[in-house]
Amino acid sequence: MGLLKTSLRTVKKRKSRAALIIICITIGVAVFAGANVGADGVENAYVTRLLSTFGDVDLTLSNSSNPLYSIQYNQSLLSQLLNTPHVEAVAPRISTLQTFWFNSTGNNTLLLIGIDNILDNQFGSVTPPGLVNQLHGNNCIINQVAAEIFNLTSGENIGLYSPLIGVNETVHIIGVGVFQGKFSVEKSTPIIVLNIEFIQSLFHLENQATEIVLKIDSYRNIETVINNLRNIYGDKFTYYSQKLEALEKSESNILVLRGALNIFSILALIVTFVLIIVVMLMNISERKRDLGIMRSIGASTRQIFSYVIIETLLYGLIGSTVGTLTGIFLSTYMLDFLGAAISTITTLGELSIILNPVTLITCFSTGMIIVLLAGNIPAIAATRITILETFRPKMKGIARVNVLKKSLILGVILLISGSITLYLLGGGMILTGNFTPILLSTALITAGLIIFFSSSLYYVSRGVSTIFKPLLKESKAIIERYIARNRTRTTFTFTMVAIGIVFVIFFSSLAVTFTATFSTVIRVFTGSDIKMQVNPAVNYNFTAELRTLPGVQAVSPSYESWCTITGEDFKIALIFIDPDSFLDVYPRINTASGPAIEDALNTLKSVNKTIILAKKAADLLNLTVGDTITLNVKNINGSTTPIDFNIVALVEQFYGYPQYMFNIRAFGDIYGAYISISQLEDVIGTSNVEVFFIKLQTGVDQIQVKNELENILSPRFESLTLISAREWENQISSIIESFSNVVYFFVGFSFIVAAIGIGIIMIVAVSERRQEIGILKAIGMSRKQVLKLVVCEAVIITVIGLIVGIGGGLYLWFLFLNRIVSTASNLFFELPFIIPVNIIIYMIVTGVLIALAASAYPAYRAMKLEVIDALRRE
Amino acid sequence: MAYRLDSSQLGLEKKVVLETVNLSRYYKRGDQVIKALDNVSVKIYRGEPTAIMGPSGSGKTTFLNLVGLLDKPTSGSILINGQDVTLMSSKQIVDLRRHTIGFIFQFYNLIDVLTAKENVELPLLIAGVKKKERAQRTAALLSLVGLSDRANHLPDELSGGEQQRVAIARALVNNPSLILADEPTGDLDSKTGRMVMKILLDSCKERDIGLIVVTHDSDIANMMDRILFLRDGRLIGESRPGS
Ligand SMILES: Nc1ncnc2c1ncn2[C@@H]1O[C@H](COP(=O)(O)OP(=O)(O)O)[C@@H](O)[C@H]1O
Ligand SMILES: [Mg+2]
Repeated sequence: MGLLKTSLRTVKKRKSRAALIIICITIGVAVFAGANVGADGVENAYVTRLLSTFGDVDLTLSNSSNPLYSIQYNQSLLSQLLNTPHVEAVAPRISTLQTFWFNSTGNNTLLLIGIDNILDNQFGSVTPPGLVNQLHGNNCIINQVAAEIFNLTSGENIGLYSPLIGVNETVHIIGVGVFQGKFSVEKSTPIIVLNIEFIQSLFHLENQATEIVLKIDSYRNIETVINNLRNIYGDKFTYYSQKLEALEKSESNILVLRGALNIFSILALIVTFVLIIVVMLMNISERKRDLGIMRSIGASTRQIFSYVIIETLLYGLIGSTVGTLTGIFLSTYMLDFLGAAISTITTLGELSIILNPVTLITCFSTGMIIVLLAGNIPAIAATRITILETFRPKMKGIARVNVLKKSLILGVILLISGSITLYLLGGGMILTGNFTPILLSTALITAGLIIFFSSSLYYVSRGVSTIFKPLLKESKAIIERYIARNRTRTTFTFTMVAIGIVFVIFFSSLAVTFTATFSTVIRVFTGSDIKMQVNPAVNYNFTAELRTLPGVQAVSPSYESWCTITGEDFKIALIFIDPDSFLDVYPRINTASGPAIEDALNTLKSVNKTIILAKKAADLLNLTVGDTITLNVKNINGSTTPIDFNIVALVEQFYGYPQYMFNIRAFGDIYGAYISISQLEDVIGTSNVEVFFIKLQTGVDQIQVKNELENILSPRFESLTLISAREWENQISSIIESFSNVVYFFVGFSFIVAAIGIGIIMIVAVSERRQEIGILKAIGMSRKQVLKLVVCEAVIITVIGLIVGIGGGLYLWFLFLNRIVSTASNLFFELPFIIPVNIIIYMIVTGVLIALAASAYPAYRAMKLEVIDALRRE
Repeated sequence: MAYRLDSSQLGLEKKVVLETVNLSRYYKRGDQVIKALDNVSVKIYRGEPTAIMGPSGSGKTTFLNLVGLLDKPTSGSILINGQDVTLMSSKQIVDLRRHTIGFIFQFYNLIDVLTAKENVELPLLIAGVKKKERAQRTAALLSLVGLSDRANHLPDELSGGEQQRVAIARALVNNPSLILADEPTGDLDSKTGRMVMKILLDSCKERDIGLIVVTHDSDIANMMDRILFLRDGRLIGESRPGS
């Protein structure tokens, strides 16, 4: 216990050092806790919204031998279920499809649902709300479908009559609603909801239910409850949770969200880890004398070790506690920001802080573990201090190694293997949507660059400081050597800066490229201005009528069918087009072989079973103009028929449909064939289509015409969707924008961490170099020059980080783009390599500002340092 | 007229480079006042190397710090080249450090990331001297201290004596009028110490520079023209070893 006392005294004596370490730990833990508490909040909001459509029921038990059969239950089964951990409520439920005669209508099939209002009070959104609680006696609520089909309203009675099952009852409608949960799927079924007891007595089904529904304290525990019940009841029941199913479906979304948040919080922890080591090492080296004396009076290595580790843990205890609490505070801001950032991508429920004790404990203990791990290094260093060392001024023993050859080679190898990874596997990503290769190569390339720069730091820092030569003047040589000498520390600092920037540059390149490409993409893709989709489908001759509408210049109907080719593992999209309007509405394309496009289109029109085929498909199949291709065409009623088509011409570029636009896989291989729409009936068995492409007259306002068309056409269809190219563009740019917002959010996050890191590293640097700063002042350095010395070192390290980050980001984007372009060899549009100049400028300005802000305090301390204090020996 | 020669022209009258008048520096330690330096009035001349001796804690370092403008006196004044420095602005003081005063420390205190040549060049760089002149003066001083062949070595690659010679070159490089050395040989063996000291003495005499050396070593002190004795912050006497 003597050790603890000594440690406490040391902490008291060196308040500023202690504060520095505590700040490091606090910040790291705060960021970690902020991210995790924030992620809990976001996950909760996401899940809340996701589950909001499902009502109270978390788990449904049904008869495993046949879900339509009823379950015999009694009170003891119910209370047994209720006593299962995490189960909050249990109720039987009946749902049965029955046919009744009522209100002088014939055979009416409807779903009768008997609910228990304890559990099902949020069963549906009923107006006025709370009606479910009044479901007693013969009161019932019907769904909107029933209200519409049978022309019923609230307040009316329905006489249910079924001689088959001997029912003749009148039920009273107290409300109309939309029912949630399982029944929301059966949208077109009329539903009558009654109290379960009423139905039981109606059908003489006392103590029987089609299912037993359970409410569980949290969606997180559904799985546990299922496992528990399975242990007790085995396969007697089928356990089904719609919520769980929905959660599983969106699990990857949640994982991405948490993962993204965690990448940065782990980054913050790594930074903290290193900072603890750096600051504690400084602390130890400042206390060399004390430690040397302790050793000389007989302290064992173990005692020294525990002395240091106890001190570190003391800091950890304070830092982790304060950090966890600060993290909770931080997460409110994070939630606000993140909510705003992703609002256009996905709507979340109410964002509120969720204080999950597990998360809080995890955050605190993560802090302690980091401290314990990091504390080992300074503690071991402390045990190595010899008594002798304390008497003489330290000899640093500068290694004259300018380039670490081995790590340089390692860096190059990593760079190359990262590039190769993307080159070899990255292409697959475009087709399969597997992003592991790109992540892997990002990691490899970033690590490679960092190691490469680190191992040749001497030349790097000389190079960079040469850029600043006119500014640095007398400090140039000193700064560049300082940077090169503290290789590990510098590497760590510039890495913090670089990592966020790699992401920004990569993603903003992506955003810039796609934004720039987008308007051309829409043109090239369709040549039309509006895409119209109708339901139900309508005869393609409807185009004639559409052409007469105001503002319309040309219209082309479209139908697409994916056909397989026997013996080949790719599909061909058979696209039905109108040869007359094709060239108006599709972009102008020329044939690669065969007659000119106009003649080819004429042939399509006049000769049956003729197609224009994508050249790439023809090449793969070894076919050419005049040959016959057999496509297995799917008929409207689902059957597949092989049909021979004659190839009239080949086209180099094949333009698919805009709906594939954002399906990145479609960038890959759209093999397609155009065929005249006049054969739709013949080939597919229908002449109805759902899609029309409309080209507008020049000079008209797209949005205005679109609105007019909508007004004219909407009474004709059940549903009508008109998308104008302009709106589409806007929609995409807003998606890209919110995507960028998310990226900026994370980058801002990592910049804050980087700023703190730079600040602390510079504080350490200044306190280590007190004496040298004293000498520099003694030989004539002015306060301004000293200030510059510190600030410029931080700036140059940041600039190295900027170079790595910007260079790495651009290189990755360059590789990625190349892969897209070469994998999607029949890409229908250009993807130019655009450098996001303004983002790069922002990054440079932000980076330098961060360096200035972070080094301000250390520089101020250096400036204020009195020569005699700096040179005095204790 | 020819017989009325100015004494200075004959080198008879010595030029005062530093003068202190009732220079005092007190420290407060609790209620106690420690008179680290108490009413010291002394004149130091160009080309007359002066040693300061005295027991530990007698105020030698305090004196050097004050006249080197690293510390401010409690009372009294300091005149360097006839100018009262106690009234100077910090900008003027920086200027004085750059052009008038050179320091040599016990532990050499070279900048360890810079080579010998760069260490010597540094004061010129800080003062903004042109490149060509910097190169000339640096080379000249390195050869003066006999380290031309070690110019590109880092301090760690040099012996203590060599490091101190680099420090001497650094102190001399901006042609100061006063060099202050606090136990410059304290960390060297006596033979090396004398050798280093000789270089310093010769160059100061040759260039007519004022030199103050604090030392415990009477052999070193006896190499000087004049020795001042301090005790309890007071000047208690002086001697001239040569005469
Ligand atoms: N910063 C200070 N605060 C308090 N006392 C000091 C300080 N610096 C020096 N002293 C005291 O002033 C006296 C003279 O010190 P110093 O000039 O360093 O002696 P010397 O160099 O001759 O050994 C000593 O008693 C010392 O304790
Ligand atoms: Mg002293």
